[in-house]
Amino acid sequence: MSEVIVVTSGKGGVGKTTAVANIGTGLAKLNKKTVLVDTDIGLRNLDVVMGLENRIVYNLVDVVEGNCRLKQALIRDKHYPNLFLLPAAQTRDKSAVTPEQMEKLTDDLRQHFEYILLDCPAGIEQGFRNAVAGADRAIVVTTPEVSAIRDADRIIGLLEAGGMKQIDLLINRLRPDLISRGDMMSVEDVSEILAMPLIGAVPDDTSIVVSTNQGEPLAGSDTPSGQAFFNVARRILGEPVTIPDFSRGSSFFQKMKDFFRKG
Amino acid sequence: MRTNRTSCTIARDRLEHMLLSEKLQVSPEVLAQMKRELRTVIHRYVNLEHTRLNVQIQLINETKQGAEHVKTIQIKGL
Repeated sequence: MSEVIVVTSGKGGVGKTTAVANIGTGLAKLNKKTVLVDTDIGLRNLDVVMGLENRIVYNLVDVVEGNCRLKQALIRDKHYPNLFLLPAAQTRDKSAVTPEQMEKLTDDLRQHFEYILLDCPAGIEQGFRNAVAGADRAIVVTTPEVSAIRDADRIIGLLEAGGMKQIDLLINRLRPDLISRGDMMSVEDVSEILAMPLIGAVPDDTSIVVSTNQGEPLAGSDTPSGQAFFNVARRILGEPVTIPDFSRGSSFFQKMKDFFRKG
Repeated sequence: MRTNRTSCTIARDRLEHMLLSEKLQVSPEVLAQMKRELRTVIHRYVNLEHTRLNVQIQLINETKQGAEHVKTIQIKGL
């Protein structure tokens, strides 16, 4: 039994690729055979976030067009032998594949993998339609900003109209300090507005920048975002992991304030 | 009551209004007018001095793949 999960958002720059890299790494850490598929043809990025950009020989379009076998295009991760990447083509555009071809591709991948994560391009055009075509479920990534939430709402509407069976919400880049002083929408605010089940809440974290610079996903590492992404992977496997609400800072100062308030 | 609104509350209100207007496919001004009228009508029959109203509307339209497509719309904070 394998599951095809598309990670999408509508708006660009909210952290789809980072989410795919880290959730995928988390699933691999949990001993699941996982493949990450970059469906952003023409603007591939998942390879650099994974640190695998120098190993690409064939890509998704080569597989679809029959220039190579599926196995030839799959790149094994540097650290996890059960984690693979299928990169996008860089010199083509979204019209190089059709939704039917993507469905065939995901069905072929189901023969070899337990989890297939699709990194969807931004937008609602053909790239989006290609990415969602073969998916069983969707994770909609958003940040606690008006523009990102509006686009997420639109994407949820399109997924529902297309008959997507399961849609979950991942809220990225939460800032506990801004939330506690009323300058950022909380996990609760966002999930209430979008009215979708929550699969994860990830705090804004400078270690993500470092991790992306190095091409080493940090899921499972001892960092706030590394823990949060790892917990998303555990929830995908059905583990009931509680989601913190990040509504107050956990700084020493905040703890002292809480202590005196209680007293 | 409108003083001291945090930017978070402002963002929430703007989003809720915007998404509602997109879902109902009416302009934001028309939606604001509709909200006022809804409140006035309900107020005509029920005493709601200090109550915030949440109205839920279900739109049942086109049949898709054999199932009725039901859209539930919440109008909050009338």
